[in-house]
Amino acid sequence: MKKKKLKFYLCLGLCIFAVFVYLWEQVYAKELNYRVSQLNSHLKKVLDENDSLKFNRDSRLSTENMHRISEEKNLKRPVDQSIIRL
Amino acid sequence: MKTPDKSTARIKFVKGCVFLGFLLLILRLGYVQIIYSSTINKMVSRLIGRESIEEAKRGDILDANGRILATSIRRYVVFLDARKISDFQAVKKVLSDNAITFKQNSLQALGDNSYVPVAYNLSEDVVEKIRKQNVAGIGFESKYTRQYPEGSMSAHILGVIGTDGKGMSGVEQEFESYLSGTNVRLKQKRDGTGSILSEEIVDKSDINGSTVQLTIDMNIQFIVEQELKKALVQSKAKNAVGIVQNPKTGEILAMVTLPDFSPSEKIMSLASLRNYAVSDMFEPGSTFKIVVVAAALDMGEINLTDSFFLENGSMKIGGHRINDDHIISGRASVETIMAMSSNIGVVKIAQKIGKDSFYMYMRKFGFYSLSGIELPGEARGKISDVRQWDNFYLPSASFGQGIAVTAIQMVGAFSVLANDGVLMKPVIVKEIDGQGLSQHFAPTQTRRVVSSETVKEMRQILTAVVEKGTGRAAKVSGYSVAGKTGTAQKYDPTTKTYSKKHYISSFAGMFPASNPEIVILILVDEPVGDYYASSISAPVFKRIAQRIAAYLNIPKDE
Repeated sequence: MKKKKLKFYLCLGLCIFAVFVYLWEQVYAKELNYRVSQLNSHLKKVLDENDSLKFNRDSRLSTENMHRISEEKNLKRPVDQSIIRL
Repeated sequence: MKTPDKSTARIKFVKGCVFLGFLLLILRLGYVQIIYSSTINKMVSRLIGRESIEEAKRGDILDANGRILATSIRRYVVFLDARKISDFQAVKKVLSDNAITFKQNSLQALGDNSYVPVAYNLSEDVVEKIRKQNVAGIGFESKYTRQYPEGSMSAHILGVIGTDGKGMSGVEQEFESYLSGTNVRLKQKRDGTGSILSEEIVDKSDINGSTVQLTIDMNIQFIVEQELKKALVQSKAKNAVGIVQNPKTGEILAMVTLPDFSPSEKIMSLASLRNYAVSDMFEPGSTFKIVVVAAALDMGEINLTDSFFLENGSMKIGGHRINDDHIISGRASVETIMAMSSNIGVVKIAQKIGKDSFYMYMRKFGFYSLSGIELPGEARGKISDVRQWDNFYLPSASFGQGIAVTAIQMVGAFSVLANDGVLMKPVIVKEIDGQGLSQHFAPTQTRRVVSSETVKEMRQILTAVVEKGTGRAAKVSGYSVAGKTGTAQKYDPTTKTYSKKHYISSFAGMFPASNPEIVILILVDEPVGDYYASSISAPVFKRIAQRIAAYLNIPKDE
């Protein structure tokens, strides 16, 4: 009799635990989804910012800019004799 | 006093009712969760399900060294939603603090519009500053915009994209299917606040456009553009073209058409997009003489020791008079004929080979054919059908008048003489990379045009042009240079004769002549005042060649 009661309560306990796990997983999965979506948005923002920074860098390093800076600083190509090629 | 039986029965009844209640609840739960669940899920999906479009980023265009020439970055449009504005002055202040002004001075002026754009092309950081102010009625729309870090450089090669985001000219148009990428629809679920519950995630590298790498070297492009701009201004010319080609591979290292335009700005006229180097035809003049002389040498009709009587600088043929600019009395060798650019000498050589062979060699050199360069709008040129040539067509064609060629064809012809007699297909795209594929464009031989022996003789002749003849202004110190000047009258359609005022001045050459690494064509259209190639185009060639030789560390051969 005692054994039967024990089995009954054990099964009941397992069922309640299973329901609890299911409910917890439903809530946690939703929270994870929110987090993943936020991270995805953040990733897109970072990638866009990266593109923008690359463009700014490339514009500053444009051939015309480099030439203008070299003229302003009076830079000249060295004579052949002073160039060492490794 | 209640009997024990009645109270037990009441307890049992209450227990039964409670049990029944729970049973009904469980049954209802089972019905909702199991039997009715699919209907509920469909209803919920309709309520919270959304579709969004993941915009593909257009592929980059790079130069030969990996430098970015065209890229897409996300920019924002700021707009006003009149229906959501509660404090117009606050909106105006927030925007003016960020250097955005608009003409409407009151909320009434906006009417009932929910979309009034007030600023374009804003970066993320400016948008964030405005967003942080949390003012109602200001909206933001983001999209990829095409940006060109090098400004107007190589504008004609790159081309532009239209308002629909599709290429309209140049590489942007020709490689639209590779550059554009694929927009995808993604499913999302949003909650009541609009936050994303779940969404499909796509790897951007799978949908973004491919990267197209050109053969253009931006440093060489810059050199050519700078020198050509100087020449354009000094000569007050209408147009100028410069092409630099690697004769051994056919790669185009630089291609400049002036005047140019800025691809980032509004295009005022579609005509400005036209790439003269590829799409426009011109009468080449004396640079075309290489075809006659090369053909005659290749066929064995002449050799370098032959000489021709030059009619004292004036000759009548086919009812027309032909004159030489540099009069040579008596006879002259083939080398002198080319060095002094004698029209009469070249006509006599052309008469030796005959019109059929001359036409065949014209076609072999790539004239009156599409070169196959990967740019849109390539013109074929114009050479009359040989069966319809009259008595004057062969003589005039021999010195480059009465026919029309393109700049890309002309540089290709000179590259034949720099590449041991083999015509290479001009290449402007080196590689395409993206969406899981990598495609490399290898050099392609079109055909052998003349023999190696003919090439050696032609280079000797063209070196004499630069050493002793009309091309002296093209001489580069330390290098042997082989080239040819061309000064062609332009046909005036209003008077239906050749103009005495409008000329095309050109110089095409290669260096070092002993083993050419570079071929350069310079073309100046309608210079004002002095129009001779020896004064206009040849010096430009020299300056460009000097700078390219230093940049590429080409060893001197003299």
